[in-house]
Amino acid sequence: MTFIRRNKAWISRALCAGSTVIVLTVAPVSVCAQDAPPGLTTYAIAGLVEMPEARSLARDDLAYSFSIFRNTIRHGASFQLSDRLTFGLRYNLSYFSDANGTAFAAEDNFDRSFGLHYRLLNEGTYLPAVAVGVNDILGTGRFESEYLVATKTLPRGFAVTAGLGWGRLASADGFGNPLAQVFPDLADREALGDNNTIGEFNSPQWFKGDAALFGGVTWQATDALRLAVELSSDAYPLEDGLAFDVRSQYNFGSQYALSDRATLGLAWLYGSEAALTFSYQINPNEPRNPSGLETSPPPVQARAAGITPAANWMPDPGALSVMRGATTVSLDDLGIVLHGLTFTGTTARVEIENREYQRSAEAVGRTARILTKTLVPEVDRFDIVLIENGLPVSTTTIRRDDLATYQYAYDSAWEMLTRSPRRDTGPGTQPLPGLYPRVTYGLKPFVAPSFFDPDAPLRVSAGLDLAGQWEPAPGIALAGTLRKPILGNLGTSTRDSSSILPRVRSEAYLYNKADLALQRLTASYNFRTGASLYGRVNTGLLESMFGGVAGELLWYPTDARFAMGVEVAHVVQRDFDQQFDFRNYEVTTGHVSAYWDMGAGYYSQLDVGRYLAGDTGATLAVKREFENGWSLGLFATLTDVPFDDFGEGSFDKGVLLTIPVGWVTGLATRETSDFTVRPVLRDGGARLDLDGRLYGTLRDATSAELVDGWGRFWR
Amino acid sequence: MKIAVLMLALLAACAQKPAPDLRGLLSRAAIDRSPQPLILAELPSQNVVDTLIPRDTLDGIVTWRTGRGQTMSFRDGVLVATRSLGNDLMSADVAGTQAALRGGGQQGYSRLMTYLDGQGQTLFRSMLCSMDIGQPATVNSFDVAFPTTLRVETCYTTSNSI
Repeated sequence: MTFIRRNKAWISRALCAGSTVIVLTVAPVSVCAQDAPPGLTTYAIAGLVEMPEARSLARDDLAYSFSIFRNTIRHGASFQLSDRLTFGLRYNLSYFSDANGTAFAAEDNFDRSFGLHYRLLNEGTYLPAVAVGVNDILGTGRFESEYLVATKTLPRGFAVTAGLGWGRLASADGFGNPLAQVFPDLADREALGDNNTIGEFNSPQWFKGDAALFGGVTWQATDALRLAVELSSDAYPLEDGLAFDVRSQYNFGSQYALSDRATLGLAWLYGSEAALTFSYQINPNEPRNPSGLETSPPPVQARAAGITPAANWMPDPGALSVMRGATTVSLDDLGIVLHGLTFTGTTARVEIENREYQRSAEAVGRTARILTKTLVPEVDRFDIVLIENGLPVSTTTIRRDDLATYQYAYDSAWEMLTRSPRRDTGPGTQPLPGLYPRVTYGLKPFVAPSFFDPDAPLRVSAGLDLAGQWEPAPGIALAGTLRKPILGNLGTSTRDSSSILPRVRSEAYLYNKADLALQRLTASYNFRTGASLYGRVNTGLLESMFGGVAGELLWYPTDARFAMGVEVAHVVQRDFDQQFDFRNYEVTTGHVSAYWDMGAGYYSQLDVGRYLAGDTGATLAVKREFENGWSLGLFATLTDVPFDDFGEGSFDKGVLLTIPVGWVTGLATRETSDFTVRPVLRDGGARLDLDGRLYGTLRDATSAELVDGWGRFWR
Repeated sequence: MKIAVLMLALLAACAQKPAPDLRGLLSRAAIDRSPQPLILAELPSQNVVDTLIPRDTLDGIVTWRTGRGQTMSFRDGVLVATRSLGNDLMSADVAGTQAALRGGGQQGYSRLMTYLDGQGQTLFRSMLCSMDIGQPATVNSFDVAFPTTLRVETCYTTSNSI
């Protein structure tokens, strides 16, 4: 018997006499000195206290920071889109106790904006890293600023930063723009905060007007403690004297790492204010449990050698019934529904519905192992068909004996991938006798947040969703969702819509007042018309604000990274109480959509068509996707609605974030938390919120995605 | 939005119970009464202590499981796979280690392992190992001293990530 130790964190002990004891130690040949990761500013980008550094977070890092000081609360979030490019989102809340004379008519100011930070040069032995950044790209201009910054790390944990700022970052001790010596047009700049329309790109202002110097020093005093001192070039011109007093341009900060993800900080800002900061940083590539904590897969059961069934072998009805029953029960224990089990000679066609596993490959792998136990030994091949919403999507063919041969092979996943061809299943399913009609239902909690309301920066509603579905046949479903809000302030908004467009979304606050909302009540039919072609018809109360009929066709080859679809709907606006009444607005809407998995973790989608307010245009969404289910992206919609008619924000845009619940828990689940964060919800560029659109329904079960997730086949 | 599910998941992830002190519960008498062989395993990084019993044997590899469905698979006593431990050894080629065991020590053989990375993709690790010739040792296990041979296997890798 053997005792194994791995990496000092892994100890097992066997109780057995006369054994040999092996102690395995792992020693790195060389360990490179790793620079400590940069600290975060109050804007959640790499920096000192408030000023940026030229460093970057690690690729794919996702950071959030919260800071609070007198009359100011700031939320910052950033995402390291590539090795060099950081995307930042800021939400600054300034509370003005004095109602005299501000740029925004003496109101408290809640300001959200985007920013970009790009590392131009990597740090060398003698040369510093250099970065350029632009803040407040699509906001009010209140935080509009640009900078060029250099940072050099020094021995003993020190780093020195010096930068040149423009715009708000030149509001303290500014001087004539040096760039104007070469480009005279850059000499002047309009006053801060009143030079652009909210939501429009204000590029003409970039790097214009006065410039100012900023900089400072950070010291990584211990593994957990970082200290920083900086000269800020931000004079807080729109807040000084209203939110707090600026008495000095020197800031002092300390950050203490509570864990590898969380940091708590204290700062002394502008000679007058103490600030408390908190930041949390994660990387979607680094779950705590990369292979998952779900229970181990069932064992492969090798069949006896030498079984040679007759050429026309078929299971007798009794054996077939037993196999169906045993397979149903065994798969059910794993969160997989057996949809069908039929035989063609010694090949079993096994239709399954994956209800639990984030990657379909894991469901296929577990099903195959169950089949080695539940099917008679004459069966030598499994055609495992993935079914999604009644639609057969892909078929994976697995030779039974390969499972026993390669389960413990060193490259076991690859051995099975190369031996298990995948293909488009084609139309038609063969459901188990008695499977239909079937009823499913469930009661779930919900939390629905709403951000950036000028009256309340965060509104939220929580309660219960009762969802039910009746399926008389594969692909046909009657489904409904009843929502009961219990807690929250989402329904207390009183801010009337000022939209001059048909109010297809801007009166959402009236829908949120419904005490018991019938969110959806639909009849749908999913069907396949041939190879790579899928269709869907959906009618009823399609979403909380519209009812009608919608149809969709999708061309999606199962091994392709590209798909195209068309969707047309005629809908009538629902009444605010979300029962069965309608309002006096109807519209025909529809889009042609292109979906492209671009590779290297990037995905894009283009939708061109007519939106709910009758406007025509296009929506482009670009996402960074992770194979573990995370995605983070941006979208923007431009239509023929003029920016002035659209209202605040000028056009629809926002951030898309999907977090797989299993990434947090380590357990197997297909549940995700999906966030769409818009600076403002208006009527232009609004699409129907249809449930079960085909591309999203099918994608996980395609051959291409099976290959992408095949590492989990043996999980 | 399914934020509620995420919040509940976060709460569940935080609610980590301390591992039971199985050493205190186990005794030589209880071990002797067990109808099956037992392994007592600890995973300090996850605060897990559990006993394992044999589950199945395939191709000479014995898989042991805990009551919670975690498994460890051994080829001739050398670990080749784990499941449900969070950062599992997905597969391993331990032919070099086995040869060193049979030969009474060896220099410069390889040990190959695969894991899953954060995106569920196969992560290959290779190590260069050596094993000493061993020396007699005694292992005390629940009041019984077992004479054994202690052999130390030292493996080097260009990465310090395992």
